[in-house]
Amino acid sequence: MPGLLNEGGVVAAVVGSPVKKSKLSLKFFQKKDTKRALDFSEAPAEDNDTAEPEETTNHDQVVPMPCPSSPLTCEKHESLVPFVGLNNLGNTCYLNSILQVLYYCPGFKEAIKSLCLLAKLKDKQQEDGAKNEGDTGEDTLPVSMELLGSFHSIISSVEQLQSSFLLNPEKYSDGELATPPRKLLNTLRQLNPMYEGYLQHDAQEVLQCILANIQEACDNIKKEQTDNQKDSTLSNGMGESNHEDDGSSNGQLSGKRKSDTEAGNAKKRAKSQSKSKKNEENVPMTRSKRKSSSGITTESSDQRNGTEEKEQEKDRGSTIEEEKNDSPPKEEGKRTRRGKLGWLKPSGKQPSIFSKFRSMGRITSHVGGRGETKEKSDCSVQEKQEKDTSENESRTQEVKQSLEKNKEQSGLDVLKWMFQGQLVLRTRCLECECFTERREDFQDISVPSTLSDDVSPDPKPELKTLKWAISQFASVERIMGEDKYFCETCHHYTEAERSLLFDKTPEVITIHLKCFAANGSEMDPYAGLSKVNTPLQTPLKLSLHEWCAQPDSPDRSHHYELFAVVMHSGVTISSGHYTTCIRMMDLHRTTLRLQSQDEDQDRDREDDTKQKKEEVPQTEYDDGEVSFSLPGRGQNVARVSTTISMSSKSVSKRSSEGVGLLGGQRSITSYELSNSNQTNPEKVSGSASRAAGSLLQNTVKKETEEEGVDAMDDGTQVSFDVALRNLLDFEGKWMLFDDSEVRLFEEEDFLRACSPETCSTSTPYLLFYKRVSQ
Amino acid sequence: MQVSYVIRDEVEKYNRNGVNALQLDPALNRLFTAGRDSIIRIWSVNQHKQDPYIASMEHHTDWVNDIVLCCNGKTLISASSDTTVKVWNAHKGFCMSTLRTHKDYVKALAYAKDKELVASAGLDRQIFLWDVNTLTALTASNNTVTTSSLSGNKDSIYSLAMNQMGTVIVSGSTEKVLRVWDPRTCAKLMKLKGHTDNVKSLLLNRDGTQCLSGSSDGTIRLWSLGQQRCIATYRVHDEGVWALQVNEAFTHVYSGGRDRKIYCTDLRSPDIRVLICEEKAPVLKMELDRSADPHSAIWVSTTKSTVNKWSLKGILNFRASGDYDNDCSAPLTPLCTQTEQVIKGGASIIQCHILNDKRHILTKDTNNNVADCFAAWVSAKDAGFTSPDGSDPKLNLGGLLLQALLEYWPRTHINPSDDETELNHGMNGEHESRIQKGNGYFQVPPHTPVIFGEAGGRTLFRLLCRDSGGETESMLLNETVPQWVIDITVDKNMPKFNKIPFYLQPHSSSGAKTLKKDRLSASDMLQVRKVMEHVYEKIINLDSESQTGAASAEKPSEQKEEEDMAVLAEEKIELLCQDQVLDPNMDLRTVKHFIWKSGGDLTLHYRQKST
Repeated sequence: MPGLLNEGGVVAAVVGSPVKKSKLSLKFFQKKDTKRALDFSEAPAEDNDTAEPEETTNHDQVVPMPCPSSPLTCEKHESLVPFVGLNNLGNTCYLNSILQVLYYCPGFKEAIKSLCLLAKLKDKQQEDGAKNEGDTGEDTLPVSMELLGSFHSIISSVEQLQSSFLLNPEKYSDGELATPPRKLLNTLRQLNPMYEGYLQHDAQEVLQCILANIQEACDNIKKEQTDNQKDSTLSNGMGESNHEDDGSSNGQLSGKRKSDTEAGNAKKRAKSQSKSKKNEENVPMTRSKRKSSSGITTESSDQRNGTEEKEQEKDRGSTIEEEKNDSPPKEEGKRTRRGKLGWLKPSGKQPSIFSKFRSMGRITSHVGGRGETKEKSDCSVQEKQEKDTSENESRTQEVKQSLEKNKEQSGLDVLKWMFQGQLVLRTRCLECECFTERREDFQDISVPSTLSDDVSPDPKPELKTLKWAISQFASVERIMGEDKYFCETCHHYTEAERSLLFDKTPEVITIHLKCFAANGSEMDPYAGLSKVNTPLQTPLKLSLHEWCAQPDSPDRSHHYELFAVVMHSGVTISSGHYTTCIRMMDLHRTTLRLQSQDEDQDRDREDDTKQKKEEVPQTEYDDGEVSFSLPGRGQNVARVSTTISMSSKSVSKRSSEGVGLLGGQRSITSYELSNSNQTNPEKVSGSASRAAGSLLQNTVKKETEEEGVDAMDDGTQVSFDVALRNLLDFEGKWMLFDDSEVRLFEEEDFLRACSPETCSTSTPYLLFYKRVSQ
Repeated sequence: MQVSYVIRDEVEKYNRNGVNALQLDPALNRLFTAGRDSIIRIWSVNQHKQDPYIASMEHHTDWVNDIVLCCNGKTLISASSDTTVKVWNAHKGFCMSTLRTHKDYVKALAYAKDKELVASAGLDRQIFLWDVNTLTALTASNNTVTTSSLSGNKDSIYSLAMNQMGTVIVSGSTEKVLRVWDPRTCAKLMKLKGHTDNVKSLLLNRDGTQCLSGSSDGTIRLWSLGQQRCIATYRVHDEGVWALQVNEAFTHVYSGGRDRKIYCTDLRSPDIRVLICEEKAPVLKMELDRSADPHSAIWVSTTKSTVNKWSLKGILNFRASGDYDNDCSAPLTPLCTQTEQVIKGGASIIQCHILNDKRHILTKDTNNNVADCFAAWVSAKDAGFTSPDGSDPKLNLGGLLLQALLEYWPRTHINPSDDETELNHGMNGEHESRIQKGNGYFQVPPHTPVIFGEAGGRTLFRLLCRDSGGETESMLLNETVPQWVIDITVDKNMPKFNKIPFYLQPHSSSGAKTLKKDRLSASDMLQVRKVMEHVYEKIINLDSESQTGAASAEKPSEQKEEEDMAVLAEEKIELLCQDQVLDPNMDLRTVKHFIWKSGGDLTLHYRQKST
């Protein structure tokens, strides 16, 4: 296994002399002559420390300084587009490409935010509980939740960077607009040590890994909620006392952690090592060895990070320093634990009814976490129930579900709703014409991008379309000849017809073009997968109508349009480069926000003193913010002060509620302000489009005040509407995200790149279609 | 190669399953039914007879899918899922020859009366043409027949039709198109597209200019072969149309199918349709009683074993009155609610389960009766046989059964200990009384059908138990009987007992030290009881003897000890496998398959009972 060998090498390098290591890799990349901006801050010895603080904080999002281009990026960007790239952390283009798609996937960002809100509340409760019971609390946070958090932080970073750029384009006049997805990468490596090291990986696998784990996080939250509901029925007035507990336990917590940083680190490490050694006995030899060693490396590097940070941040405010000191050891404890969990988790695909199709490259079913089987059966039960009730009813339910995104429960199912469809496998006996059905969820559709020799004898192999590919996937198969089907109705072996149809289609259809074919001659498992460079024609619009079990309906149409493509250039699966093309949509929904906002939100909870310090700006604009974060979790959409929503009813409704609740009580100023200036929630709910500009200016002004605290430069301000207008220029345009580099891609260029006629090594690998409502 | 036999009554007077095909012999007033129970039965349709059953034609070993009556009722040709086509003397009810050209289920037959030509088609996509006169002339010695085949079908054929003149042949398949040939030249004529599902029923008019097709897509289509197109589509059924009949003038079509309803539709004015009756199960086949014109009745077979005759007399009044029910939205009321005549069917076995002892089979029939049958291994004591010497020899019931099944086969009458001369005497029948027939324990009913088939299920040879003494049969047996059967029946060599290795270990709870791992070996028929005896005798006793010398003092007489050993052992110790206490009656094979389950050598643990 080349992967294993490499891994060993990396580990050794890290343990031995890190500096040498990163140099080595740099050389390696130079040799490969990639244009990617390299950022090897991942290595223990940081070449580039600027973004580090942001990386290691647990919840806080600090806007990274305009990410200084690494020494290698000498390309000059004539004009930066207002979209944020992601730095390459050493062959992480597979990850970057997927992250960009998810970021721009309609509704995904919002879903993550609301999930995070739910999760953070949950964490707190959990910690409280742990405090009471003992000190096992730190270790209980599942790694999937961590992923949710990391994802949230990368979203925040990108959003803030984008806002910051739009408001002060001059600041970014040289260099590039990018942020490193370091935290996420770390979490990913805990989830699956396969991602350790700097090897190229399959973008599709990463996507599945991320989605499955976020889904698992959802399940965790759901479970937690049901538990909590039980709890709350037991004790009355829990909310109040709970909050008090928070304060006190926080104090306890930080005190304890501090001691950990000083004295407990070594101990902890030893403990975790022994833990992993114990683990070795249970898991297969090679794997556990790898695991334990990698666990140690992450840990040690983390620790070093921690100490380094400590030194750096001495210059900064002492409160911040305290926070920073708290987090690294806490994370360490989790890490070792998490490494184990990652191993316990089935990493691959579970056997399914479609496994037989896989050989033909037909389908990859939902990749499961631990809660997977349960979830699936739940789903099928739900499905049956839906069938039982009248179809209309279930429809309206679904619609309601999609509308009531603010409702906690749907927030948890949003991921399924977005990416998960259902296939129905129908087997019909040709004798009695009775049929049996089996349903299975799917997250993406793997279609062949080439004709296998035996498939179609029809003499039209030219111009393979995506439609052709999908029909290969969803074709009718006959069970006949020697292996007949035993029909339970006929009590006889009969011929049967097996068809695969889409029963439910998700909001986003992911199509995985199987362009890597095993090369018979080479036995190397990685290098042997060479790419078949005969791409399909990629249509901008797609209709799944003919493969759907249920007819087209206005609220669930089977029509889709392309919004993102992950391109792969290179010859084998283990090499090459991933880029992403994304069509910009719904830019008017972009949240322009400033750095302090998110921080405040977190500080609200974590640091009371700090909140007091910033009390004035806080109460002024945060009427929506504070009100929803406590009673109505998951209402992240209602970011009243800055979200420019043209027609979102739910938002306006929520915001007016917020005012009704709190305007009178807490923030009279803001209430008056909204009245007099015709701003904020009421404005939005009233005639948003007409006076959006004035609203913007208003909010900008308010935030400017607030920025004063963070010492932002007032002079570089550009008004929000100008910024937004700049952004809206890109509506409907295709953008090419090549790691940290983002540029405009004209549609015809894009189509040419996707077309099979162009002789390019860069071919579409993953296609993302979103549902078009008719 | 496998041998199977059927446990049944000597005469099966009722259809035991659905009836796939019907043929009327108007001259003799007989009805032929082709059953899914593999039997073609002959019935008298004379109303006055109390018991309509006349005879059974048994030779198929799987569903009979279609039958045609040729040569004015003298010859019957049948197609079956056992992949054969058989030619029968319809009057006397015996099989004249078997055609084995198809490689999969033969689903449909077509007959051109004017030319005495029959075509067969099946799931192997092939169509073969047969000259009936040649087929009837076949004998055991002159058994070659030339056939022409029509190829080009891309999918399994489910229906076939030929016009009376034998000028056009049409096939319907899962390809959803009709393919048309000229049987005289075997030339492809056309392909007719229109149906959206399998075509299950086809009819041609006399001169082959028009075709009617019934499809699983629920429609009936009328095609003009001259224009090579569909000229009308009739949507009278809610579900697949499986059976069609038409009057000679090709003006009225009778149709039945999955929705259990039978309609009569006027082909010229499709709105005029009459619901004749509603069956209790999906309709598989219909046969018009053409003895009177207009037709007076229609026979209908379904997936149930009963065959019904429905009167069509009401249709005349219906037509005369001109009071057609044109309102298709209102549910039609059936013309008939009472059948005119019924050929009762019997229950069929719909479920079977081989019990764990491999000796009994539980079955469940359509009347929900549960019965059990008898098979395979047994020890003589358990089976209730008394052996002459009073011992308890291990018998291979499967072997005995084989011997019993073939006890009339002369080759099995050879006593292996006899020398050459005696053998000749035996053949002359002089010493017949001395020769041990069968297995010496039991006999099977002589009517029991024995079937030799390939492992996949394709039948090679079927005969009745009692017929194996016949000249042709014994000759054919010599050809087909596999070596392993000969070993048992002729050479009287029962298969050897299988030995299985296993380990004996003290149970962890006993605290005893793990013994040196001795690999033991025993017949897989060995009862757990015997192992317990062994443990008690060889291990526990040894231990106790060495520990307490007093135990040996009260050692009873040897013989007594042997008798008591088993009892003692069962009292004192128990055996466990996978921490499950074993029943002393269980044999090692059962333990291995149902308790040990995993691979590797069986390991048994023993412990002393804690009383």
